[in-house]
Amino acid sequence: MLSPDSENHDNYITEIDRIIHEPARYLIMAYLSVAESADAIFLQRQTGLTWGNLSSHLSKLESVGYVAMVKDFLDKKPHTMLQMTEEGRKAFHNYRDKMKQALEELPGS
Amino acid sequence: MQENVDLKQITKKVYMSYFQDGLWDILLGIYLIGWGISIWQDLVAVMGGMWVAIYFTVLAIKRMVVYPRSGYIKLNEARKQQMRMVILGAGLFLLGFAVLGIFAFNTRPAWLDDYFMFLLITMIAVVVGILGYWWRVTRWYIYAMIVFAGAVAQQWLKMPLELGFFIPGGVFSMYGIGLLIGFLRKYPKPNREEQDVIS
Repeated sequence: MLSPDSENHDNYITEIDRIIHEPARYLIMAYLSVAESADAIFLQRQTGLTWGNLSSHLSKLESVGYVAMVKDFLDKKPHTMLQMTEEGRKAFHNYRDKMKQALEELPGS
Repeated sequence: MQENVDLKQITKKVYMSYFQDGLWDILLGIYLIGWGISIWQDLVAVMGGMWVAIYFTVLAIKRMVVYPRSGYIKLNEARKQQMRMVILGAGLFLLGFAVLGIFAFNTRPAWLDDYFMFLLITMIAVVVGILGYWWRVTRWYIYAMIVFAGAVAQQWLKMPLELGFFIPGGVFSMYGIGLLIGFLRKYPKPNREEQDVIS
């Protein structure tokens, strides 16, 4: 039979957001969390992902509503920027809390 | 891909990315060289106009050369506000000191007269150090020390005053140019097809 502690731990694990759990997506979310918005070149330069990978991860994050593309102007020219949505911000903080709890509850930690 | 996903590190990296092109170093260097020229050739009135022209040139280079290569980020409003206040505070501090010096030219006490340029250059060093602290750019601490060394050298080692500006200004500009060249090599302009994958 499982101890109450290990049941708790299992709960934390199962509640972890799998979208954000992917390292590349976590990294994208982390960069967007410290900024108001950033363009794709900035994210590509900072994360070191290939353009194709960055595109597919951004599509995934956009499809669940964590990231939004916004049209902005840079030097009077239209410029696509990426922004973390309010939902994405909540999910990101929630993910970090859950991960912290899950790691703290690990047997032997 | 980067291993480090510590948020504090990422925040630091994001802010540091703003200074990786060396343009602010070049700006500071040219600013000091400008001071040196204005003292050397007695052209104090030229300084203000030159400073504004260089500042806008740097912003234009940022837009035309830097952002297409390194990407563009909008900082959080709180941090943007903090940066504006630091720049404004540093500018007002220097302006106030300069105005005080001009208006008190005939009335200031003898000791202030003797140490005026030392105090002025020390103030510049303090402002450079504060900017380094707020912007988290540690190399600016070294810049502050070099500026201060110039103040000491012109006061006690009888080095010509303008050299106290030319030498640090030259060092910072050269280092900034080195950073800019490194930046341009590291970040070639991405081609259109690559970017189109995203938008």
